[in-house]
Amino acid sequence: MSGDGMANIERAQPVLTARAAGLVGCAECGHVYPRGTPHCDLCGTPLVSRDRASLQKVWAWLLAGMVVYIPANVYPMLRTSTLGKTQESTIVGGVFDLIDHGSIGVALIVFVASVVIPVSKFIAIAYLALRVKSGKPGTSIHLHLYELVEFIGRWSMIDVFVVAILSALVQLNFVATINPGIAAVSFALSVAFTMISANSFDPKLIWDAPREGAPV
Amino acid sequence: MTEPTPADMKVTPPKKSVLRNLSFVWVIPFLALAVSLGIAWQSFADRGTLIEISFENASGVVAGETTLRYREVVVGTVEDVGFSSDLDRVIVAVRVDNDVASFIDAEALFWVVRPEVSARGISGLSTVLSGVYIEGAWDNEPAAEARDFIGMSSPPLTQPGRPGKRITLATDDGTTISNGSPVLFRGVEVGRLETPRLSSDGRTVLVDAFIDAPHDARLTQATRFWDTSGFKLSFGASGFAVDFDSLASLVTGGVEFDNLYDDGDPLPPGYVFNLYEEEEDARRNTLVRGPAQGVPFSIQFSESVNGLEAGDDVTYQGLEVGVVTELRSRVIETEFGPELSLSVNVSIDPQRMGLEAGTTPEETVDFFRFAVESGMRARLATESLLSSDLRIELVVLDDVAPAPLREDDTDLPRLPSVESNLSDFTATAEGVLERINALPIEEVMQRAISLMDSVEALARNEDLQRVPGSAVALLDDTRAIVGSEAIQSIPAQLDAAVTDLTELVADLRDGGAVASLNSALARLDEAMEGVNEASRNAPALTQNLTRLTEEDIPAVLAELQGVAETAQALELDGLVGSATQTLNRIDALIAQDTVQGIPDAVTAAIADVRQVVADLREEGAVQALGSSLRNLDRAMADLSVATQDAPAVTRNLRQITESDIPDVLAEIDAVVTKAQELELQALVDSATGTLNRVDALVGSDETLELPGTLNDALTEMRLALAELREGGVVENLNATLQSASDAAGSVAQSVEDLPQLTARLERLVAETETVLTSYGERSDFSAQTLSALREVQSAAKAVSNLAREIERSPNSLIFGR
Repeated sequence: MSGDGMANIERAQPVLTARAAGLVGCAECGHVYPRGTPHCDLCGTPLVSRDRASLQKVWAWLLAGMVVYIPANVYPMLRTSTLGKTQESTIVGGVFDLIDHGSIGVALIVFVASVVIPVSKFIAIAYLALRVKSGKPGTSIHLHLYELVEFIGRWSMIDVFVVAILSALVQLNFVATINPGIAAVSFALSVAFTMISANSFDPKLIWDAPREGAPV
Repeated sequence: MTEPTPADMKVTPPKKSVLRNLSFVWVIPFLALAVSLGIAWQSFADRGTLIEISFENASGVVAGETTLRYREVVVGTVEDVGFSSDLDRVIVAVRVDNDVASFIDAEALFWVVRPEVSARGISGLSTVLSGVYIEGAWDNEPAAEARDFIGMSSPPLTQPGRPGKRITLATDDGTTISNGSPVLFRGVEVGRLETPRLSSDGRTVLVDAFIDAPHDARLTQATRFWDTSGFKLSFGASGFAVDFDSLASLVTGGVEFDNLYDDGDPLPPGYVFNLYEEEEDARRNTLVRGPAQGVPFSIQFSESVNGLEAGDDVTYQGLEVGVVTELRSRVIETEFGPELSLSVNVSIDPQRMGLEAGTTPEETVDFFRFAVESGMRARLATESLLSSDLRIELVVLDDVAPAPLREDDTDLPRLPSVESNLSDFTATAEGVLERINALPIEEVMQRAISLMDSVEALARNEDLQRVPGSAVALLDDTRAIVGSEAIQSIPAQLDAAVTDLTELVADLRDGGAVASLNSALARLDEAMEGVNEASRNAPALTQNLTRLTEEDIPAVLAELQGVAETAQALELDGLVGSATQTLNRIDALIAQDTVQGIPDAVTAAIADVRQVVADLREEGAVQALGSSLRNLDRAMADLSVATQDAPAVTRNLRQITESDIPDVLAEIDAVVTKAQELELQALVDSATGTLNRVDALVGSDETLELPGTLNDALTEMRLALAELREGGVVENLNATLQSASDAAGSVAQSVEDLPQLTARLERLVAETETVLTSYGERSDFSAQTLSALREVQSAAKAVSNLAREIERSPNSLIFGR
């Protein structure tokens, strides 16, 4: 499909989708059946040409991710107790702390992984969903955008992993103790919701727009 | 290439109903929203109440980190640190948990807990690592909430709601008491002192103390407080003394109290205890004493008050009733111009004067006005014989000029004073030396020398050696008298005379001239009477002899006996003299002619009688008898007298020979026996030996030198005293005593400094001790530190391994391998 997209771009012609050809593909194994076939013969997956609830799911998960992203930034991510001195730091506050300590590279990583990527994902998914809904024809750029979002989404978990690892390792009682804050759970949920949202997006809808109108 | 024809599509048109079309996945965002809102609401609801506390400074207080704790439990967090509008104070905004906010009323106290090293030990050590925190204290009853508080600069001695009693102590010297010093009761800590402060007039140091319940019930008016901190060095007439309870008290210090007696009166409000320096002072003052309760008076002295100090006692008949508070000189206007006068301010405790508790100063002054009219005066007196310390004593004198209690508005009421009869040390010492000087030592020595001379002379007396000889001579003489032939022949001659007389009478009867004889006999009677009367001298003589034999010799013998007894009583000198004298007297007595002549006279008389009778017989003429009657008469008269006396003489002589002389002999024998018993020779020997020894002693060179040596020593002493008196040594002594007093003052000063040093030392020791204790005993800390370090080490190893691993295969991070 990617190859077709590239070819289409090169040819600058409207693509012929399976749906347009009266066919339906199995989402699991890729076998193509004629329209109306209820189940895939090979794997038994119900055959649907287009997931009509796709955009709803996308929006729902996207909204959930955005909602939990707010406490993820407001509440402290880490609760660090060093020699009886407890310090709570939010994500952005941690970034600024790192900058203050001169670790600009680490700060950049944290900032990108915790702020830039999630926010970019929100924007990207919302953009794709709006694009599909508006009925404008999709291009391969949109597909690449979607693929990028899907690929990079997991990397947002780097923060959560750091917190989890630190919390597990640094339990030195009085000397130093690191505990996850509410924001850690919220952030993990946010990332998870965003990933579900991205996975809920049916990329085939990108191509449907010019001919069928809004699929919703 | 043909376009494939699209098949007919059977596309289900979209359902128009939004609700029916709605996916149930929308539950998720709403759920997330609900949870987020729930969290937000909860955190907002848990945010607590904001209160503001103002501090002098907020060192170490960090917004968002510093916590508010109540009984070491975190109940809030500092949200903001700012300033008051005039930058005068630091305003700390604290978010307090709602469950305790209702207890924080206007009486709540807040202070910043910092690491503190004090006499109590180290507190707030944990804040070294964790940073300071704010400690709050409030009672446990919900009350009207307050929001603005003024924080304290130091922890309060007593926290609100703590049971106990707050009292005030007054002392002169605040150097030995410090904030947090313990208040002890029989060595058990029952309270603490707060920071000392000066009274409003600056003369006393006041310090508040808090006594925990239930020990505060022990506080009555019989309670006395004294200082137990440090140790005391005292140097006085009784010697050098170091006094401290224990080493622990050296370090910890503090104040102790005890009740002098049970059933003390309860404390009135505003009662101020006096803090005594020593326990003896406290226990001695069974009544209330102290400037705080005293009524001030002023006394003006015209003489020197050298030796009087503030703090000295004011006594009334030996009982302390007050204390000297101030000495000063003042100029008073007299009719001769301004004059400098010494004024002493004293504080007299009315209760010690017997006035009731609660007597106002005015009533006290009234009492003293009456007492002064009755003759009460103030005068200086010495504390003791040797010291020059003075005190003021109140005395009631009968014969004093009336003087009023002078009162005016500008000054304290002034008690009149009288001249004291002070005897200072120098005068006393000089008097003693003068008395020693005036002792008649030389005279005594002279008398002793003369006494020894007398003893020596007595010992050398020759009379003493002659006593036995004289006694022997006396006995010889006596024996010679008794054994003399005259006395022996007296009876024979008497017999012969009587025989002759018998013959004469027979001749007369035979001559027949009875009538003549009768007349002759009558005449003879007459003659005998005449003889009797005529020879009165003879009876006198006989009486003398009788008296001699009856009285004198026994008297002599008695005297001799007395002498013997005296000699027996070892009256040696008297014995010698009187024995010699007695023997001489006896000798002389016996040697008297009268005594010697007695037998001869008797014999001669008898011989005369015989001669007469013989003559009569030879005449033989009766006829001539008549003619010779007259002669016969006279003769017979004489004879009759003689013969009348003869029996007496005979009787006397017989008595002498039969009784007296044996008595005499017996007595003399007794005397001799006693004299023999006297062991005179041994006595004399021993006396002589003694006297020789005395003589040797007296005659020895040392003894002879003794008076000279004594004399020299006395002379030297006198010279030394004269030198002392002339060379100004008395002044030097005064100066030396002054220097000693200064030195003692310096020592006292040093000793006053000692408590501070001790306090510092004590803090240091406590600090060290606590640190050592915390490190030594609380192995928890070190164990944790060790385990922490081990964990850090292992973590570092793990991180190092991880880093090495990542270095070896970087993509394993990405691929999770």
